[in-house]
Amino acid sequence: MEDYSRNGEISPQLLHLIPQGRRRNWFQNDQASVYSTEDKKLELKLGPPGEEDQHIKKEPKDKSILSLAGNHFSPSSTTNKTTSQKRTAPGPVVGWPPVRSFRKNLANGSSSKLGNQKSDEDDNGRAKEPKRQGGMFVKINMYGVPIGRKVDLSSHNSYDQLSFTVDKLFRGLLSAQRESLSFGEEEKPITGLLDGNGEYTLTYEDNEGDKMLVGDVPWHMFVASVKRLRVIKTSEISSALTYGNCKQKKMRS
Amino acid sequence: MDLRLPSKVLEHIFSFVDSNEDRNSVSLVCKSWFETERLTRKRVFVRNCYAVTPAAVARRFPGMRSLTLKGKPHFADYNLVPDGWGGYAWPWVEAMGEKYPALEELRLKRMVVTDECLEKIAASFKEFKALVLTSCEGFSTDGLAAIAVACSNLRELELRECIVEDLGGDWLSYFPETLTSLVSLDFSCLDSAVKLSDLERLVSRSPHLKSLKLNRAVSLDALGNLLRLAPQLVELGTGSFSDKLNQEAVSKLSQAFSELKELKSLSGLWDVLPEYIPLLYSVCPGLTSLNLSYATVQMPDLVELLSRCSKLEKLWVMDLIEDKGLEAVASSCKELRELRVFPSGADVDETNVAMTEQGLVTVSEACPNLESVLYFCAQFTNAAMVTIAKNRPNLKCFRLCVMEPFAPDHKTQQPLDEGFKAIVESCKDLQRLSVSGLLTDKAFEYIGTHGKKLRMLSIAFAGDSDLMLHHLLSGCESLNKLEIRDCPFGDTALLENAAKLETMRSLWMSSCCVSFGACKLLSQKMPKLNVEVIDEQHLTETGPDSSPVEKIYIYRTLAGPRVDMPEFVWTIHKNPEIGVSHLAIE
Repeated sequence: MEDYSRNGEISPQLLHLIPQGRRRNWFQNDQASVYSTEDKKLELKLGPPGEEDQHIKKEPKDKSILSLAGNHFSPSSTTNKTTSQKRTAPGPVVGWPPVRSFRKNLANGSSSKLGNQKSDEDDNGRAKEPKRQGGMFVKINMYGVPIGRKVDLSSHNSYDQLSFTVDKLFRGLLSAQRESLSFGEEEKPITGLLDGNGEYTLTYEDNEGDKMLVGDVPWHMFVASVKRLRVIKTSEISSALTYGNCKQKKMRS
Repeated sequence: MDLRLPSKVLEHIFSFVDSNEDRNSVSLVCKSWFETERLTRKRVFVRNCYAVTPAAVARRFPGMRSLTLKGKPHFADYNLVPDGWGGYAWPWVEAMGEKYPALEELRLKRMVVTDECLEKIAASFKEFKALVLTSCEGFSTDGLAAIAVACSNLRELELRECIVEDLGGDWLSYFPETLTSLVSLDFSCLDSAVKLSDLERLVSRSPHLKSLKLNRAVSLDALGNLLRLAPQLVELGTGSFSDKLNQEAVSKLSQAFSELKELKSLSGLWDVLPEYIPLLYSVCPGLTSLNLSYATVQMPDLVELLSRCSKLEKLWVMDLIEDKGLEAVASSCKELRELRVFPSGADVDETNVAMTEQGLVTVSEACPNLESVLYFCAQFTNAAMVTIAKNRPNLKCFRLCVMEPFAPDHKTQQPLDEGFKAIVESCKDLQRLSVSGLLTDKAFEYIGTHGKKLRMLSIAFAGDSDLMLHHLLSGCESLNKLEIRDCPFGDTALLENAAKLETMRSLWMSSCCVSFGACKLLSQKMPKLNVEVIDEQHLTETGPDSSPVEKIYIYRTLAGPRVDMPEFVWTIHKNPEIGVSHLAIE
């Protein structure tokens, strides 16, 4: 048991960086401290000098989960056999028991959905950082394009700017969708989103769930109440939008 | 004497070599074998996406048709890895998209997949057939729509326990009428209801559909229609099992179930009402796999169900099954290979006390093929583990989670060292082990001495000292993945066994006593490892070298430091000027 390297040769380890004093003590008496008195000189020593047999050092830094665990890892003056008495169960701990979040609370009959809604707080109770820092991103979908996009309204000051952005976002995608229909067609700009003159019109859903035409209210009011944007075919306006009514038709080619 | 076989002959021979482990061996024989093998490998597995660059993989395997990638460390499942850590699928999709548009399958686990990524897959791979995402996140249902609309040869779309931004159920309606190749569809982790008529049309035009896993929003009523359209199903995941149906609807549903002659696997069963359990009786005799881990069914109903499942090989259930229910499993399910028992309560004190170690002992006695166990339990005893070990030396995977940290043997108050000793001594082929309860360094001495085939080991709240880690790293020859949390070992064992780390895939340590200085030292001396310190509080860089680090993830890599590290991940490459000269050396 003196030979602590399994394969007989000293593999390239960092043994030479570990002072002799420490190494020799590995396989001696269990109760003996692996850290001999020489250790006090060592920089890598953890915790205050003068520890006894248990070399679970330290007061860990407060944020560590060990602090939640109370006195588990404080040096014990008793032998190993009674360590069981020293251990106390910690309070709620991150990631313990090791069960995926969607498995929790199933038996309580709660209507918590299974896992695909990220909670606002992580298990520590800290509020999670919002996915995007700053900016006011709203989702925007366009008729005929399966993939939605996100628009940062905080970087816009007017409806015209927004209209320009929508054109930029979707122009390419729209013509890609149309590829199969008319080969060689150039990318057409998306215009007339706000005045009803174009092929498409920009609409939005507000915080009360109502569907509205974009452009009717002052910009800052719009920004305060918008939840989602949708670019629909102008021809569908009267059937798709009814003020105060939340019917939503599926539009598909 | 040149005995080289012509490459065409080699290719033919290699076409019979399926397993990648064998293929890896084959490629080590000589250069020509390496060349032939790499040109003919169709299925590539990269078990740590940061161990190698996408470009390198793409270059080596130009014939790749299927790529499997794993990203985040396993403990990410339990929220121990902060958001933004990494595991992005994008670089891989981008690299393959450009050079290898013939890619057909992508299987990703614990990776961040964005909508842009999904769009890119849809746009780049014309022959794309299978997308299987396990424990992934970062995408929305819009991304699914992109896959649905564009992949005209799609066979498999499976979302297993993913976190998806759910923007509604429209995505399913994007599958074109021309798509008839679907074999497997799993959207069980999504919230929103899909349009039922579109789902029915999809199912009815998919004659090859073998596996259908619905989400909770699909009602019991709707289930009946779907089953009638797909009586050929081999795997079924139901939706919610709780609507109130009238008698006629119930009998029609019962009829529909009895038509499922091929059904081998059943899951879902959310909210299942006891009065509907008999609906399942007709399929029970054929079932080999049953996942009841979402079904809040009480023991008596479970017994009724399980006593009819004589062919069952895999059972996932909650601890509502209790010891009595496991007795029923023991007497009825003689073919059982895998048992997982999950806790029904969220906290330790909510654990079902009518399920104890005895349940597992009973099953281990009666089921000769039992080789894989995951068991959450309030407490355990050494005697029980000794018995289990004696009964089942054929165990390959033993994951015991005693819910209360530091819980001793509840009969003798002793540490559980002797119990785990029996397990590793007796189960010579044990490959995966998770330990829990009160454990001293002795337990790890036993594991190091006997756990020669152990590949993956998970440890929490255990051990006394550096000896613990030392025993493991120096003793477990086959060790591949080691994950440890809240254990009191420090630098010494880690540094002494540094070379071992290059033989392993990865090592995770969190809330242990490893110092920043040791991490720096390790990084300097072991350039083939990425030593990543996760430090959300930003304490380590500014603190002294002796300060302990929150979390460390160490893995071997050919790719060098990764380029997508968030600011809370530190590696030595971030401050190369920090030397270790000021640390005591010799």
